[in-house]
Amino acid sequence: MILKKVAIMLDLSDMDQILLNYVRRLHENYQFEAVSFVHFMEVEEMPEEILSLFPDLDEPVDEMIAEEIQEQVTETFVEGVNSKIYVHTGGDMQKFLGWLEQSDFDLVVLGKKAALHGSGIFSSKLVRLLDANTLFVTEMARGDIHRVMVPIDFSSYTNKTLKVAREAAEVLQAELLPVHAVKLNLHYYPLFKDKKELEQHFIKSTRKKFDKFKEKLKLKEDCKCVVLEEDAHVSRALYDQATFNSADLVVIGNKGKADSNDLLIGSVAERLISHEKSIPVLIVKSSN
Amino acid sequence: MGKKKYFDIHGPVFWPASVLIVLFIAVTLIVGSPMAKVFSTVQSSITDNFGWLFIVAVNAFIVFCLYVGFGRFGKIRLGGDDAEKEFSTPAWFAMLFSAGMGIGILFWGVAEPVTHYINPPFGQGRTLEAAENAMNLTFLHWGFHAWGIYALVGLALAFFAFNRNQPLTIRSVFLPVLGKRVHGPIGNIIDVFAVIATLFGLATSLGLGVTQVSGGLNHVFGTPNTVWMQVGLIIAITLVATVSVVTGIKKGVRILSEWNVRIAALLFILVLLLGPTLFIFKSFIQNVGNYLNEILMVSSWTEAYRDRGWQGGWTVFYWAWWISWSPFVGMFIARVSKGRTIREFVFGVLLVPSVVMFLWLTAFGGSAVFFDIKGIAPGIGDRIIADESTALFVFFEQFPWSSLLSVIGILLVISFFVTSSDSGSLVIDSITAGGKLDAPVGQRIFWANIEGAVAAVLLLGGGLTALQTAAVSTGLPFLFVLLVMMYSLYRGLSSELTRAEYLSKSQDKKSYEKKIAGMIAKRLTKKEGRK
Repeated sequence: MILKKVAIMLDLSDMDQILLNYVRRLHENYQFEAVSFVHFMEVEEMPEEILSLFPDLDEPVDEMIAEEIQEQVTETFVEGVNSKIYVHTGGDMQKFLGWLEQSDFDLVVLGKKAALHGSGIFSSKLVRLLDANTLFVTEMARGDIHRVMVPIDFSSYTNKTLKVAREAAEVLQAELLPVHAVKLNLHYYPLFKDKKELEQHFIKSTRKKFDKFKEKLKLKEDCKCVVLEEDAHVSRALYDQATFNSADLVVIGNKGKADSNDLLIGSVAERLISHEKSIPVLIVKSSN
Repeated sequence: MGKKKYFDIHGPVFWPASVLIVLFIAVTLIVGSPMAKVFSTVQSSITDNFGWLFIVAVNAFIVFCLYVGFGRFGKIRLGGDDAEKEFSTPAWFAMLFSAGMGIGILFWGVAEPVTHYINPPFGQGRTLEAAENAMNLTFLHWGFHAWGIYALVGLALAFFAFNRNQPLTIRSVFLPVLGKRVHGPIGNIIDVFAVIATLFGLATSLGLGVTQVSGGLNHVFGTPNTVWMQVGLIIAITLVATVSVVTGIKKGVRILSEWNVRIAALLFILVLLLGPTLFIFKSFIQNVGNYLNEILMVSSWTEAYRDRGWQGGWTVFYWAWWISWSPFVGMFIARVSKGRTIREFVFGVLLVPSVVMFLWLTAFGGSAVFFDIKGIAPGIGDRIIADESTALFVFFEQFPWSSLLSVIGILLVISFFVTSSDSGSLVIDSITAGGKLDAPVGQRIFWANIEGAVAAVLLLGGGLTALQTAAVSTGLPFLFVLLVMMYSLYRGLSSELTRAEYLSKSQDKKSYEKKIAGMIAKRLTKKEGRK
């Protein structure tokens, strides 16, 4: 199993319930070895004027948060899970990232709200700064997963991404749908005059490249090749593909071929998480 | 940890490094005198085939340093945005000075410019042109390029140690390239390379130092100047260094290293005042100007259109030597530079020690050339190049109280020897102990003795050529390490900037506080209800 140690980021909003339910469904199949319920306190300290409103408050705020989370977890989550609750105090994102990296989670689950604004900054920071696989769960996420779409570009990230996606499909007994999107580029023009011919060429070469992975990773499925017009966006096309094929989960590598080293997350992954409103996206980080 | 009071090592680095070095010592001793030929063959084949690579790589390092220092990375602070400087700027400058001072400059300070002046790589010897070119070449070898190498290693070490909380060893620098594998076998191999390079680079220095001490004693007191005398001196001085470590006089070494700089400064001032003062001031300005003007030409010259093998013994040897002990100097400058911005770091490390070098070289080598060219001391040039190890003392003959100056010179070399040996073994010990800085003293003694032994064996096995071979042949593999280091540092710095950009995005604290307040209210009411 690749995904064994899981951390769920809870922010004490309504989203928590959705997250917990979703991960519980995953856990039924995955049987995670350990699940941590994590809350990051975004402020250094609660201001006095707020605390003074509660004269009856007889315990530190972080302990109270932990209790609150504990209650939610006992309500929603199955028993007998090796679980832990952790509230990070101090408001220092850098230190929190350090803790996360040290804890060595295989998967970090984040909530992604379509409607509520303001709370998205924490998630968007985390996914860009953290060197761990991240799953974005949307409000409308479906718990039953029938189809896992995995966009690939045959870069150095593809192998690990495919492995995670294959595991997900196997564990969840879902169908795996590898997709490769290519753009029709003008620089092919003198070599291929006919657009049809060029499309055929792409489809053929995709199949050839994918066959290597198919053999190595023992996959049954073939890779779907989507050919785009030059001015189309790959992320847009992938989004359309996911909707069109009614995928329930998208697994994507954190970077693609064309992305530079400075970026902690590639442009397609970036667009997918900011546009994808209903389908959860799992970003596979493979810097290690 | 309690059990590891006497022995605390990182086995996969300590043992391979030790075995390789002991093996080297054994082979050299067993083979005996034919080793001298082996050394010179190895040296010439490396410099013939890889000389150009050293030349281009060292230029790449300095360009990279300037790019990093003055480009968009310049504002990154070592240790994070809120890191505090540990030393005031003048104290930091002083420490960079002292990093620049060492046995090498005492050994070559007089000998090198005079050698280039009498036997120039191009043009006629003993001419005005040869004198100017001699200073150019010497400045090249001791100037910005040398410090570019140290700046690269120092910056990489400092960045990954202070901004990424990695242990202060060479392997940490490869985190962006190797990821978690830096903790595995590849990391161990890198550290073994670092240990061997540092050790042989250091042994080269110690070997040069001890030949100079021996030459100086011979010059002043008439004691025999033989290889066995040198070996005896190594044993004696290493013993002194060992005793100072064993007795726990940590302070002793610290005081010694502070006095090194003071004595060196005193020596410099004496030469400045007693020597051709006006000439030194004038030529310093002219030499720097010449050097800056010719820097592209001299630094990219590869002897391509003719092959006299001049460069192998000089430029390539220097680059390899600096590279081989860059972990040593790099670690030192990294440790004192926490809290500096990268711009300050690059500016400081490139400029401050280089200027010190230029001053020293002008005062010592420049004056020696001046004595020869003006006929003030006829024949001094030939006597200087006859034996590099006595060059300094022949030069001092032109001064009043020359014996006193020579004795100060000898003591300074010995003192440099002790401090280099001590701090060198600290560096090697910390690499072989997995980045710890407080590893047991016994291990440091072990490394101090190994350094002495390697220096002695090299001297026995082939004298100066063997010393140069040691630096050149350990410098070559480490050159590749540095090339990858450059790329790795670039990646680390790039992601640091991106991280900083995202970290600085402010979160909505007010709405978070409101949310928490709501939760507290809810829980308190619930509790109330339960009562």
